[in-house]
Amino acid sequence: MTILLIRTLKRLTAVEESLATFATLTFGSYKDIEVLDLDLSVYLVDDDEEQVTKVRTEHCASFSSPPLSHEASLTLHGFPVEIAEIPGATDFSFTRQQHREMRFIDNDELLKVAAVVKGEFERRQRFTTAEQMWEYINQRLIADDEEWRTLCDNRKKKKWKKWAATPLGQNELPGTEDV
Amino acid sequence: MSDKIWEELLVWRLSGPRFDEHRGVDLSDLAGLVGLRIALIEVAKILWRERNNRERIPDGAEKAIDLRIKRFEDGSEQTTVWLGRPKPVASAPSQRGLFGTPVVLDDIASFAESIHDAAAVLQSALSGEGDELARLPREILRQLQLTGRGLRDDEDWTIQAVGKPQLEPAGNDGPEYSYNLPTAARTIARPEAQPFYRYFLPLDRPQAGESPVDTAQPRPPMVPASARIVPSVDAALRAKLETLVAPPKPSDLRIVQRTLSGEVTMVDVDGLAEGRRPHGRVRIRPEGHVGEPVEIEFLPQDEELVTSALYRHNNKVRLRVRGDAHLDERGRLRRFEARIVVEVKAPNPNAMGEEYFERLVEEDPSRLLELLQPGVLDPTLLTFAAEIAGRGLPTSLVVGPLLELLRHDRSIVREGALYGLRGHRGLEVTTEIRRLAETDSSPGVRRAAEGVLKSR
Repeated sequence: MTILLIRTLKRLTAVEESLATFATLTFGSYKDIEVLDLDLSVYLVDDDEEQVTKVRTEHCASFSSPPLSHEASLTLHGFPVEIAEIPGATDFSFTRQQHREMRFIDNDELLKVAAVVKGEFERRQRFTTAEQMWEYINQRLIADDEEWRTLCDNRKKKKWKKWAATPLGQNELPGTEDV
Repeated sequence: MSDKIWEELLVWRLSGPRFDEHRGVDLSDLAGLVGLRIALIEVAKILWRERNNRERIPDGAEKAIDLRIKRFEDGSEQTTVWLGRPKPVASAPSQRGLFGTPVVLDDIASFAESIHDAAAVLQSALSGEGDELARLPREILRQLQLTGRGLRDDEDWTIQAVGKPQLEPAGNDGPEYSYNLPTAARTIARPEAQPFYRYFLPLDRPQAGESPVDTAQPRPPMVPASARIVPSVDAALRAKLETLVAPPKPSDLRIVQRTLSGEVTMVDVDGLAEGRRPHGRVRIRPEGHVGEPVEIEFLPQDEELVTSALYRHNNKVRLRVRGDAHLDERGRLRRFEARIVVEVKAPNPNAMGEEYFERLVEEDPSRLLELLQPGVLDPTLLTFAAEIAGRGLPTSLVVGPLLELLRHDRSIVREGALYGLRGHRGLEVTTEIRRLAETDSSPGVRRAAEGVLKSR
């Protein structure tokens, strides 16, 4: 079974840009867009929809708000690059265990990988829809999954509890109440 | 000693037939206390740096602390090691800053706290639970080895940490030891007791498939003082320490490639001139790893890069290195030979990225709205500013500028604006998103718009 190295894909349109801009949009650091992240955060998963959905949902629940549409990922598998086993920082043991860092020595080395990824952009994309994530969470809550129960009980994550409990499409959207 | 507060730190005890007669301790046995002192201070430094997120221990913090024994208990071979720290006296001018606020005492007090924790860490590591001992830096293990240097095979030493004094009112468990401090000192935030492994993760964490050790699994937290096992550092444990400290045979080492970066803390290129070593050494504190710095051996051709970078940056320089990491059978790094050394660009204080826009949502929404105006930001930044503004600001403020950006000539900006709008309802918003989904020239924008429409 193919192993994937899943990373958040921030912009689908990045592929329409030059290699440098593609790399900036896809691998630019959170703090400074001009600096490429040479320790790329990825998750090691099997190439099946179930695992990709699980990783995508756990990552999203740990670091951001509930999804309002799809969540796109990009897989960076297949390169002879150092892959360091660095525990992740999510609220879930699976994604903590499956977290890796791809380590590049400099921008040139990363750009070589970026060029290949850009050329294979379509087949390296993986999409997780909001419906898949909503169904996954509810499935875990019905199964009384302790990690998901803890997350939904966390006051700082109350948006997730509400989102999971509301049928899709009926969620109150942020900002709407201020009109 | 009146200018100091004295707290019990730990009890050090020698046992064995030679000490059963209770006729005192040989002077050579006391030499071990020097090793114990160094080990305590070095562990405390690691804890302090990590907790305070600082690279260096403040000047004077270590000197301000005394570790002393006052006497041996009558008829026994045990003594209490006392920790002395300056009294936080409001009238002491040297301890007060420009506006009368204590500036040094906070650091000294928190360093003293770290020494108390260091005593607990050493006790825990020596008690032989888990692999804690092997995780300690080698230099600290060497000092522990020296602590029992003069003892015979049938003798051992023990330490028992007394426990931290309480700087705040005691909780339900009650204080283990307490004393009164002026208000200023009570305001010092006590760091939470952290699990041992938090501070002593091995640098050379296994690569995928290399080891069954699961570093992601949570480990038990630091055990309270009252429940800790008092370790007996007997001949067997001293032999184990010797094994951990002894240089491994080259044949026992496994070589793997590693890449890491960090700030340089020491450079030694003397070896080149004197011919003692084939190349120079640089010590760096790797990012994302706490504990001891890593010593990197670099090739002669990299000397110019390293020294000129240090010169240009006034010794504050970050390097990224890739090379051969020599790991022993426990996966500990014993040697690192750099094959590639690259200087890492200094962080730009005016850097802009997603983090900055997230901060503006909370702190300065008006500024964020200004940044959405035409010509202010580069498109690679504008796309993220648009998404983050849309996610965090109210419809009444942000929808107008985002609808404008849907007509931007760069597809990356239109995509960012689309993501910004996905949390906002309204006929005009939906109509515009549908227009993009159906007619936009960019396949990426069309696909993004379709995804946003599906969830509305």
